[in-house]
Amino acid sequence: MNVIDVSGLDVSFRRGSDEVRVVDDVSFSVERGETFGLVGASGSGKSTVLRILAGLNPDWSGSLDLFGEPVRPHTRFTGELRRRVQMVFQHPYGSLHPSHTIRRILSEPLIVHHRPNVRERVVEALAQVGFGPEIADRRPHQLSGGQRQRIGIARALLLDPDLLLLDEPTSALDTSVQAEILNLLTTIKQARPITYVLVSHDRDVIAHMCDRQVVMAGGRIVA
Amino acid sequence: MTDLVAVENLAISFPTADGGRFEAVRNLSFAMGAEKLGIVGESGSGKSLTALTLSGLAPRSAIITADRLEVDGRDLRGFSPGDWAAYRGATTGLVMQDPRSALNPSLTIGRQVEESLRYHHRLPARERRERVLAGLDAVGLPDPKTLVGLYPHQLSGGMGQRVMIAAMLVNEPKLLIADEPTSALDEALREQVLELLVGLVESRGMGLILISHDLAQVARHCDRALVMYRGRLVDSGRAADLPNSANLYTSTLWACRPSAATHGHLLPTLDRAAIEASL
Repeated sequence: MNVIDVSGLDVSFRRGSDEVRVVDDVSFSVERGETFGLVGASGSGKSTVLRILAGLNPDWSGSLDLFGEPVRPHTRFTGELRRRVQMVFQHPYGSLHPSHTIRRILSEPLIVHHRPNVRERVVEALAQVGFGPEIADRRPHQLSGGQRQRIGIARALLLDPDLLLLDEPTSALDTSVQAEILNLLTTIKQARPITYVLVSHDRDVIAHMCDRQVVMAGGRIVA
Repeated sequence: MTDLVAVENLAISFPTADGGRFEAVRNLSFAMGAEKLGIVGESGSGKSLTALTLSGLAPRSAIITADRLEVDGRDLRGFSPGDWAAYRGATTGLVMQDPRSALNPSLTIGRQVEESLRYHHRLPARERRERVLAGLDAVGLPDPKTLVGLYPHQLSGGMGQRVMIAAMLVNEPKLLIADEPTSALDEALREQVLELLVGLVESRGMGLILISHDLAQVARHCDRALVMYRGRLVDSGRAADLPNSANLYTSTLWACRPSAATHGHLLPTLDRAAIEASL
């Protein structure tokens, strides 16, 4: 079964009287358990596609199925979809609340989704990305870039998603730290059935991680 | 022959909130002539701070000591603000990471490229203009005559970086310091800009210090390499030998880069405890 089926996806916006098309007739499918790569230069439309898959950009046209169910444009993701699809952002510092402790940041999704045993789940999630429980009392600014990204991954995994969307997860990191994060993503996937979509401008990262890939330029899939 | 750059026992530290000192660079010594020297390491290794110190641009709170700190035979220790102003742009040029933040958004390209000419020389306007146009032409920018009237936001990142290189070279400095000059650029542009930079440095007989986190880039383009870890020099040698270094830190940094060949495998990671123990 395909986790993602995208067909004829278009995104455009108006600049004055002109219509600018940033995603142009994009079609692809991703199978369950695959690591699928979207590679391209800045402005190629790859991050826009990823944000649509995450439900963060509802203004598109075309056809999109997630887990075999059609998703309609101009609507927000609801119900199980909000659990099953999670995203890891390029700059974890921008996506982790600066004045909340790590414990609170990781507890919130569990509380929102009425999960039991929040304290234990947070400790488990931290262990999964290589942290002891003591880090839960720290705040994002007390962590290094690589540590913050591991927290971002821990948060994305808390609700047991089936699809993890990764937007340039290592491009703000040193190569040495990048290796640790890529290894973490590889190890997580060995331990559970999960599908990855990885967006990157770095062909080497894509080649290392992905089973299949498409190249985007100027809003289109070109290879 | 005297060295173009001679650094002996350079230490850079910052006062910390608890009254102590944070040592950002310690015991750093190196010398170079008119060659291409790469300085590599992770963030926080002190490589950028070293570059800024050679340009007199380290943060004011930095406490800098050295037994020797010379560029082109001049002792940088005890330079006055006026000495630095006369030195920067004339003896050294500094190319920064991101042209979007390093170029002044409210000045035209022409004005920014000619700034160091205006500052260091009294030239007739026509000659100045010719040198600016020649400089923009040398970095491969199309139609310099139109370009001089444009503003930075009208250029792409790659063009902006070429403008910055042109601005640094227009005064023909002896040493060019490039701090991650391509890391804000898309992959496809990186090689182009670096080849341009290296070609210009070679044809003018200048020295180049290339600060980079990218070991492969340094191996391809530099003559020699210094490897820094947490403020210390841990390895040095021919840049082309970086892939074969016996040093644990250097070899792991080299091997931890992902590629198609590593697909399906875990990447080697730094054993920081072992590296700390070997220091």
